Amino acid sequence: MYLTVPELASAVTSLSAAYPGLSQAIDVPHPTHEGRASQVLRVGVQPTSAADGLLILGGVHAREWIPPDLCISLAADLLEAYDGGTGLIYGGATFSAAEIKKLLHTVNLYFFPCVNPDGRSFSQSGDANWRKNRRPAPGGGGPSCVGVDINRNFDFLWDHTARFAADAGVRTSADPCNYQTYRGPAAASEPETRNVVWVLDNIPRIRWLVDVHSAVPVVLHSWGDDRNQTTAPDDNFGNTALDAVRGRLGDGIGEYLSGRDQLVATDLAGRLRDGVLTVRGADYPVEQAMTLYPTSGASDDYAFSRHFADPAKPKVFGWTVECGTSFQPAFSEAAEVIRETSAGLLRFALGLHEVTDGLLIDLRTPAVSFPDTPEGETTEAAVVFDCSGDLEIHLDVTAGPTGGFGTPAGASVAVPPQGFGVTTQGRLPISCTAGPAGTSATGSVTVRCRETTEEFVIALSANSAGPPVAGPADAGCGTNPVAQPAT
Amino acid sequence: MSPEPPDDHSSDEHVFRYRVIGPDAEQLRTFIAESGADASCRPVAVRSEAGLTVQLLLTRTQLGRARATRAGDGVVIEEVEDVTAAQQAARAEVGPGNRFAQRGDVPHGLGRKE
Repeated sequence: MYLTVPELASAVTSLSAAYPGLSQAIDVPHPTHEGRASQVLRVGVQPTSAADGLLILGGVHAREWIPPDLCISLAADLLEAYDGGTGLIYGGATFSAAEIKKLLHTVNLYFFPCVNPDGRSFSQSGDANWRKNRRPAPGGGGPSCVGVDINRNFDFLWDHTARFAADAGVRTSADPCNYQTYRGPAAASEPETRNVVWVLDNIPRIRWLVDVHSAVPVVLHSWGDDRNQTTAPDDNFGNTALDAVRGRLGDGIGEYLSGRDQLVATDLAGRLRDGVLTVRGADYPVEQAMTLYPTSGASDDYAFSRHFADPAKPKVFGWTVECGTSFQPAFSEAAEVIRETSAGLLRFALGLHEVTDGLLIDLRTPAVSFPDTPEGETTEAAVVFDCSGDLEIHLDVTAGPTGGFGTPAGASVAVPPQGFGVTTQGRLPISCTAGPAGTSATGSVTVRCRETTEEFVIALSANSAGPPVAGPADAGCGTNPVAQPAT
Repeated sequence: MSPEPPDDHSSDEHVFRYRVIGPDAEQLRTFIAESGADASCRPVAVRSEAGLTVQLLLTRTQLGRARATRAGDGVVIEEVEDVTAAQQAARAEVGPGNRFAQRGDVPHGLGRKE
């Protein structure tokens, strides 16, 4: 059975109550035209300020019944799996317990399951084909004059009559009685739109947005107003000199994004597609959001445009997923679409830092040895990692070292960010004070990367210089410990 | 300014989802303009070996008119779904109550946990 609007609200409340350490219900401030309050559900181990965030929107368009159910199902899956220490399986897609743990330790997922509850309520009880919200019709208007298309109401080139070429064919409408795509009386005029803006403005560290819609299927990436180009930064949505030509197909003028941002947009979209494909073979091709017509006022473009319009705002990459092939299939089919899209979103989410920041860590020294150290002498060697990416990387000792070895620089090492595609070495010093001549020692140390949650167990060994002696063999390191200053 | 997308609300006739394949974007744009189709959520075309494919919502009356136009000759149209019938059936899958109203009634996801 599809979730009703009251069930969606109760689901958020009950999940946050059932998993208080892993989730949080966040009230958004603007009641809808019919007086409904909305909530966002945060899923993750870290507080909002301690981890980057992925915002997932559902229910922007009322007649698309699957996305809100998808948000609740995926949130519940993650909470149940993490809490139970299990993995997740969707058809042919498998996610290990370690991957679920990694995701919830490194990313906060913010589910806004039903952005437009008034519209969903009307679609489920009145006109099933209803798409907009339920803004009252202007004086004397008929049923089609009710409502605004929320996904044309965001403050991104909202005034299409002024900001696009006359023949661009922008898929929005200034007519309040347009049944599908009325843009609203002003940018962000609608409480549903302002709630999404509020989330982006007030919840720190959101870096990615996926607006889940139906149905095509397809995965869409930026931009939606014109063809992408990576060579002319001044040709962008803020340039009013382009208003007369914006949005024309094939005119050689396009919307700017950097080559790297385009790579992030397409790479992560591809991972989402790959995740979907493994469940039951459904193909969600990747396309730029502008293929036939430009759009204005869409959530994904708005999210990505914010840091261009105001450099003080963080960069938020935006995508739209059009899942499945029907707005309201039989729920048995909707469940399959939920499974495949959940797998796509998980594969996408697991790659966020790797793709966006180039975050990679690789252990170069699975074993560290201290050969032939003179008795009583303290020597140091290092566990070495290759560290890449735009983020500071923290390497924390979580167990050991055993065998009498030491960590003279402390139990944690920070590696400064190197830049996308740039690799440096992170070094964790290990010390050993040699025991009596001819003895040896073995041990291990476990190191965890805070940003990727990967754990590495490094074997340690030492022997003291001199001929082997009879007696206990494991006496070669640390039997005469020498205090090491922390650095 | 080009004409705005038509108000395609039709309260009586069934709406169908069609897969429309054209050789290029211009042909599809012309077909959409002449048919008055609802281009669904985002008006996006997907590339394939056959050309560009777009999903459109049309009544049979709209489709008949569209086939008769100049643009109708240049596209392939395949019926995907009776949207109205699907919506009528789906209405039966919306419950009257609230399964999570009681404290402790927690939703479960559709993935297998193991």
